[in-house]
Amino acid sequence: MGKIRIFVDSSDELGGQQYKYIAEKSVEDLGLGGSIDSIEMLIRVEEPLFIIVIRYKEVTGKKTLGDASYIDSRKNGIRITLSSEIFLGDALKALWSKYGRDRVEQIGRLEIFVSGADPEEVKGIGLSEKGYDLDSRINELATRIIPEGFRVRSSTKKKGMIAIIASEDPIREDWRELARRLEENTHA
Amino acid sequence: MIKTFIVVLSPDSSLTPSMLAERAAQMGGIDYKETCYGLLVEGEEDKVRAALEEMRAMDPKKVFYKQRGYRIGDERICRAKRGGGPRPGYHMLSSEREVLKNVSKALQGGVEEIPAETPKTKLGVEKLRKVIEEEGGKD
Repeated sequence: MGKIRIFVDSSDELGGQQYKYIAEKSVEDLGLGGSIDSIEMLIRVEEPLFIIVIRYKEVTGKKTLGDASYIDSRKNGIRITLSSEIFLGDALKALWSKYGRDRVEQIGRLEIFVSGADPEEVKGIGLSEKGYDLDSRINELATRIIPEGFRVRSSTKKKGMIAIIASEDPIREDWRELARRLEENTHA
Repeated sequence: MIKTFIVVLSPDSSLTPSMLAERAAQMGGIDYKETCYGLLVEGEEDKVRAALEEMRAMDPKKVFYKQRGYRIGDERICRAKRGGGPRPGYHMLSSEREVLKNVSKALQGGVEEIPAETPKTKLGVEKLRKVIEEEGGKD
């Protein structure tokens, strides 16, 4: 996992630590390590209020393996170095279906070795039909982290950033102000 | 102007309220609350309308919405603030939701043609005699 900055400002210290752990595990589970810059959370149990701001690197237009990786020839095959961990699942799936599991080996976090493959052919392999939908994955990450019962939510989306205010009660104006300040802090 | 809408999923839709909530979050700039039947969406009318159309596009014949007279968490109908009791307006919504299955079927154009009723005629003497004979009776 890359360097993700996770900040928690919680009125309940132990709870805050747990939420940091939940965020780390969720990023890991969704394979978003290379895409997230920072996650900032503000927790006020007594209100109740949960604000999360996620900043991420936007990824678009990576439809083929050639777009999403660097490919070099080796002695008995080729080595594919992916530009981000988020393509790993799709890349392995595509390579397995074309060359079979015996010829495809993951040799590192971002590296795959394919024995006896042609680099030009591999470059043209499609990753997924509609391209990679990072927005939806980031959104899933936020949903996984936010407490289940906090069903009243307000979201703000900007380029490479999503902020969600969640509570059991209607969203108050001062909470929106807190979220705005949090967005600015993360940016700095 | 701030407006609130109720989004209701037809019971036979393959979508879930959380999928609608995810789409609402992706749109940004609106407030929403996930419920058992769908979603409550609130915000500036143009933003909310755009979000509603996005949600409807997910399953065009099975996502329905209507305007709500109260805002999300409005204390006048909030059971937490009123000390429990029935959910105001829920019985109506519940019965409306029941018929949405048929509405979505109609929208899909899958309604079967109803056969025309056969006109009632009097039973003929011969047919009556045959029936009596079959049942072992006598003239």
